[in-house]
Amino acid sequence: MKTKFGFDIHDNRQIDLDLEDTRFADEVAVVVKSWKACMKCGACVGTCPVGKGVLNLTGINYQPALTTCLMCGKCLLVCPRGINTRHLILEVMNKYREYGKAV
Amino acid sequence: MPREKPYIKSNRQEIPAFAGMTSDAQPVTGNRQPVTVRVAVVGGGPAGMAAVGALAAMHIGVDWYEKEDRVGGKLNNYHQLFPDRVPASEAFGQLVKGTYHNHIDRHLGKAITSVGVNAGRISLNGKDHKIGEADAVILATGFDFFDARHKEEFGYGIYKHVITSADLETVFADGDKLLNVNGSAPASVAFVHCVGSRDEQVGVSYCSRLCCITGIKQAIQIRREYRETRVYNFYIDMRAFGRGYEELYREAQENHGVRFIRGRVSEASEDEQGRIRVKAEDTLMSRPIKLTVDWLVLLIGMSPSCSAVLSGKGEREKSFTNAENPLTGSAVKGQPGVFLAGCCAGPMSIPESVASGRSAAVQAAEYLNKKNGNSE
Amino acid sequence: MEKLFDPFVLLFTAGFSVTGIWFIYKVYRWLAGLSSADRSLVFHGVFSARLWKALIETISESLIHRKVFSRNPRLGYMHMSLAFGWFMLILIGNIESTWYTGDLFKPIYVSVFWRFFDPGPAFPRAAWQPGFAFIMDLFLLLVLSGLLFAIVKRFRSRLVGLKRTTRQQPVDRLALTALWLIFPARLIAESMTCGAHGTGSFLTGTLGHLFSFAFSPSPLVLPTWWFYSFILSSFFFLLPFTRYAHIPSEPVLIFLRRFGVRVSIESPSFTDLNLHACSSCGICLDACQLSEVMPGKQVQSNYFNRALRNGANPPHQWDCLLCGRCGSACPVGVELIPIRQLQRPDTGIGRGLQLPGLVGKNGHKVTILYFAGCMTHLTPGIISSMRKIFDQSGASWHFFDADGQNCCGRPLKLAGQTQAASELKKKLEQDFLRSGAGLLVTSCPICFRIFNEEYRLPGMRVLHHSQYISELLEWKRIKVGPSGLSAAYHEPCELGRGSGILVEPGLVIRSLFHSDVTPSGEGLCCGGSLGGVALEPEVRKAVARGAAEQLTVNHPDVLITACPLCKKTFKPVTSIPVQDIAEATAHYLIAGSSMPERRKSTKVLGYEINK
Repeated sequence: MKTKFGFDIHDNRQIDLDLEDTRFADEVAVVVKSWKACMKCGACVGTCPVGKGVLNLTGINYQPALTTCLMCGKCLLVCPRGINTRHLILEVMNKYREYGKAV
Repeated sequence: MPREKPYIKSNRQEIPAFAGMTSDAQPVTGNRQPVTVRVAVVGGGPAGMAAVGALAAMHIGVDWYEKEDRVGGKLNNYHQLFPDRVPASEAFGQLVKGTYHNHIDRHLGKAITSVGVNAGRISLNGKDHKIGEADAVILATGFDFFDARHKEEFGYGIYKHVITSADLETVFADGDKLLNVNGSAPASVAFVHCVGSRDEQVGVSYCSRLCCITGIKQAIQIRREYRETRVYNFYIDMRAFGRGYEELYREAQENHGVRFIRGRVSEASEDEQGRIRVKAEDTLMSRPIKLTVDWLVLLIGMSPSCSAVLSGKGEREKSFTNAENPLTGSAVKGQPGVFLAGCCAGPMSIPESVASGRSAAVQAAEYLNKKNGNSE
Repeated sequence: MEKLFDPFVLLFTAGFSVTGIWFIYKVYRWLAGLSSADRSLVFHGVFSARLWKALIETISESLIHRKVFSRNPRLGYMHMSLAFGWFMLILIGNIESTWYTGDLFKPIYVSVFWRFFDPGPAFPRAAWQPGFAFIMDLFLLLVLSGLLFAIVKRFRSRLVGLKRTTRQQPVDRLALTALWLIFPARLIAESMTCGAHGTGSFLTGTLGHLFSFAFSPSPLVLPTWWFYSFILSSFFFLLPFTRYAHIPSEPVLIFLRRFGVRVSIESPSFTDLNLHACSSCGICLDACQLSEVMPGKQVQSNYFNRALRNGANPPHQWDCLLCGRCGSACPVGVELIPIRQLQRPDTGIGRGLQLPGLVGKNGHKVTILYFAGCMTHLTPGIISSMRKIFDQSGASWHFFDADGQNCCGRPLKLAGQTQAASELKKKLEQDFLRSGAGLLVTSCPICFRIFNEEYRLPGMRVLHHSQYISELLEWKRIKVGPSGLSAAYHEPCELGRGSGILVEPGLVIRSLFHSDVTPSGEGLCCGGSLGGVALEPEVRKAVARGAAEQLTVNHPDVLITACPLCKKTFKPVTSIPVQDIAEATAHYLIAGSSMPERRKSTKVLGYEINK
């Protein structure tokens, strides 16, 4: 419904946790247990040689940026929670390939 | 390791409050009454000072051991204390007053490396010989600053313009200047939180608690001194839990324009001019950050230094010592008569250390009363 | 002697035919599955000296088991006595039967069961005669002694110098039982015959003599030969489906390897041949450091090969650190690490890469390119040391990846992402060559290995910094003072075992420290390897702790390594200071040792500018 005054929000960026589908993330977590320990400090993105912010650990889903990962493992060495980030990326890609699309 | 400070302009002044603060400067109080029991206090920092003062006030004889040749511990190197920016010397003065007492024997320059409990008597041992004996011991050995060289990616000890919060505090305390490579006021300074805290990579799982507020305090100090300097704080979580901490956080943002960026710095490198290039992520924006600063300050965490004393183990087995009932007391399990005070039980602020020292003194007194059957 | 047949030989013949047909089929498949390039290698190899070299290797490895001997004499004896002894029994048996029948083209069973058809001269006169009977008994004794070792190994592996022994599958156990029974069955059957005829040499003759004291051996002769034939036939029936398939496969592998065939994605059948040549001997179990920290997990190569051979999903495929210790220990020379790498699927990571182009801006040419590597950016001590060394040596150099935005591609490769790795390789090759440098120095052994092995950089030498420093010292471009300290050297897997760079790090360390460090190529893995993708951090730490303990057993003043990743991995687990070889060099550099007049020269160190 179009409002007659005030602001109109075109791009809805709201995350609806009520409708959240965590199946993909849960399946990845079965293989890479440590990823749930992420405290979202961003050290992995900061150190990434690709410099584009490959990892976004806020939600484990397939992200197109993952295809630019170099697998160099620097993120693994700076993660303060010791998360196996390389395995995580690989597993996300494996799962994605298995499903043929992002879930 | 004394740090080379090529760009720091030395301007050391005698700070009046420190002047003349030697062992015979204060009037010794208290009557020398005969005392039957003696408690040893290991450590001369705030917790130790509080403990010896409280014990003496309860007419208990105290043997006070300190490995340095002066008491005060790390307080001696601090400039101003958060949140009120009280000079460290003032706090020192208040604490040290209670330690000039007839019941207190100071043993300076004596490092205790282990304690042994044997049939109600406790022996205090140095590196290769016994130093003393006591009926009860209060361990107030404090903490060690995390050795920032273990986080090599920040370049401490490699780049000249990377310093720790402890270094910065001595810069302030000495009245030195923090200048950039050209000798003028720094254009920008960045603080890195959680260096040696909350980091599995260096085997530290705990939060050191006080670095956040230290970062806030030191950021304000830099902004007060250099009005044009941009100051950044890179944090994972801001933990401003104590009295006046949150207010100081707000003051830093509101009155001093300190920028707080939620993201951990992952590495630093040096550019051709010797400035420090920092890589991080602004996690709230989900975008990587690149920043060049004149100084990078690492807010180093606290490492335990006490369990080595308790168990006689080497450096590698260090951990904070857990009290038997950490919620209600500070007696050490399996070592009757040994009590913990201050940061050897975990990271604490100065008021917490002082309270903990006094509390340990009371617990030691209770223990001795019970042991000697004195039911008053 | 005129009737050289008895129905019991049919059992053996059937079993042997199964193995024979299977083997012929397999050899055809192995050759047919090679890429055309590899097939031409084989074709050319057959008509070259390599054929003889392969033959010699077959004798020394498949029969004598020289490599096993040099590693572990007791285990070597076990393998040698079984393989060589059995081979000699077959060979001498054949000669003996041909000698008496004069027929070279008789059925195989004739020579196998020769003692049944011809009991030989009378005992005891013949017992000590150096005739066929004596030689045959000698080799039978050799085999039986080896069998004793094999049985001991199965139940008390430490007695033969192995900490662990392979856990068997049921079908392997069955074949093993058959193998164990073959020689005692042969002994009994031959002794029975000799007892009945009063013939035989020191072993069969004596035993047969004893039998004839206790009972009449004659009625038992035929049943014991039936039993022997049955055991032989069961073994040969089972052989193609068990680890004993290595017996015929191993020589084929040796020949093809000598001809120059290597494991590659283009020749899948060669991987299959490698898998069949794996004898599951279990030597890789003790070589693998994960055996200590992941006990009971079948991560080692023999399990990996077995699963792959059986068409199953290899267990713990992403846990392996790819350190290569098993590969260098393998007595058969199975290409364990390349096989593992090929099994890691390419999931498309890294294909979206667009790397910034670098160097060669405004025609600025340098003689030396310095490539620090991703990891080295987390150990800036190495970079600043290299800066110092370059500047001191007076080299004109360029820091290629100063912004840390490059990668060599090997990490991608180790994670199975071969396509992205080769794209990255092409890109970097261009950038390197465009710089015009004659020398590429890298601080990271991971980068060094792929630069050295796979990059095509005509006119450009590739050196790891330990080699570069060693050359600078040799040519007196830099001078170092002795430290007066002792040091232990940790050989990075990719540098030592992986690339064979052993001499130079040793030279540098010996010129700095008073420890006699001689890298052997058999170094431990630090646990930080990028190969172990799935390995959880605690396990990595456990590997690192174990390695650090072994390395610092003599309490050196400093632990030297030559890899940023090893340095990072060791630092938290040892109280002994860990330093890179470049840091140690830079620390003890004596200033003013370079020749300033040559500072501007383009011909520093003999590395010409590459035109």
